[in-house]
Amino acid sequence: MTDNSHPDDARLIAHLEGRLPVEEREALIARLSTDDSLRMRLDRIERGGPIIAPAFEALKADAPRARLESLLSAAIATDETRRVLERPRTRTLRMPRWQPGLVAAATALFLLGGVVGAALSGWIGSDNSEMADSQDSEMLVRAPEGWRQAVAEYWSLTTADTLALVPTPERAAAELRAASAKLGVDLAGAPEAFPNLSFRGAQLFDFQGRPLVQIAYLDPVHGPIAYCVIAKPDKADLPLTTEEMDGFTIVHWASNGQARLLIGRAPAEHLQALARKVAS
Amino acid sequence: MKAGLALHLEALWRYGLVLSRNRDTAEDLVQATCLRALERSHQFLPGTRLDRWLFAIERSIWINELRARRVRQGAGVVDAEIALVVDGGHEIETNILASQVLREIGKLAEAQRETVLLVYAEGFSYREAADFLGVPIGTIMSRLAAVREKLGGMSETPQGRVDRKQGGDDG
Repeated sequence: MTDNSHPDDARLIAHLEGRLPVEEREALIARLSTDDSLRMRLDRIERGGPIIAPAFEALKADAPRARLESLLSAAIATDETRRVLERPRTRTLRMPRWQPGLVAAATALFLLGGVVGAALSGWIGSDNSEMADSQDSEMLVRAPEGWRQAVAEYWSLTTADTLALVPTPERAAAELRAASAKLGVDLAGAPEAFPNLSFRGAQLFDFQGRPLVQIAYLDPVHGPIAYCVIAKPDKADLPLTTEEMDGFTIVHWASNGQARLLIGRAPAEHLQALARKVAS
Repeated sequence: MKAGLALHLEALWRYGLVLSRNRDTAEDLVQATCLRALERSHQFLPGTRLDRWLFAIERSIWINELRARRVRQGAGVVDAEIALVVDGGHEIETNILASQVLREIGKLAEAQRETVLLVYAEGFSYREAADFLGVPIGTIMSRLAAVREKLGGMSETPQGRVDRKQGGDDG
């Protein structure tokens, strides 16, 4: 591109700032007295200096402060989501040891959880050391709903403010392309998947080594709603199922090697109706 | 880190805009920089300048991720984008001159644009700018002189304060 540099430029700048050693300065002054073009260049360089900082100040004053604050809020929510998903997970059922019947039930649940967890692959890991560490007042129970629990935990961090900005079409397309490629499904239609919901971007996370895509929407009545898709290695199908978790309604199902859910603080019928739009 | 980021949002946006000459990309750069800084907050050395650290992250994201994407998409080469302007229609003399100066800076090569921003707007010393950009200090001074020479010659042309609105929607 533009290259209007001159061999004396660095020297001229140093001269204007009084940084040139005496000998060099005197030599330059001597040249300037005879070299008109060099003197004119020095004049232009001198004139061009003081107008730069005010121009950049004006540019900074023109920054879209409110939008930038929303971007920061969204980045903070994304970072916290990642931290929630990376957190080691163990669901705990507290069981007094002196109730042998309950202990037996918990043990059965644990064994069932292990089997079901291995089968469903959505389970939360609990290693043997954690079991060994469990004190006599509690039992640890593996839970197969791990990824949904994780989504419920981090979705509570998302507010309408976090989703204030609508992504540009270019950014949205890039996000959806990345998510689609990672999961091996076509999510390009996600922005228009739910007619009354406003699309607010897609993000790709990692949940215990499995790609997890979260597509965010703002519902004019019920606030933030997420549509999440995660790889499901066992490929077992599951019909639409509704549950309550941490104050959220969750509708989840599985098909074609992915588990999916819709989550929000909305009536079950509302989320079920939305789910039917994308579950077919 | 969150509070520190909030203090530097405008500076990050301005740097992103000077690099990309596109407002959408500048916002993408701010968001990506915030996210990367939050992820790597443990790498920030207390006692050092947060703004310098954030600029380095933003520059790395621009060079390694977004610039390539924009070039692939053919953006950044059309005339309308060779412009940095002050938007908002402020009818004050300083902004008219500022728009004129910014428009000229917007026509420069990326290396010149960012050098002049870092030194004259962000207060980098020549040594800091040289280290930050990975070039000799003489190169920094040459770039500054070349930009100043161009801007200093601006008033020699009769063009001036009448075309303030030109090209101003995405730069």
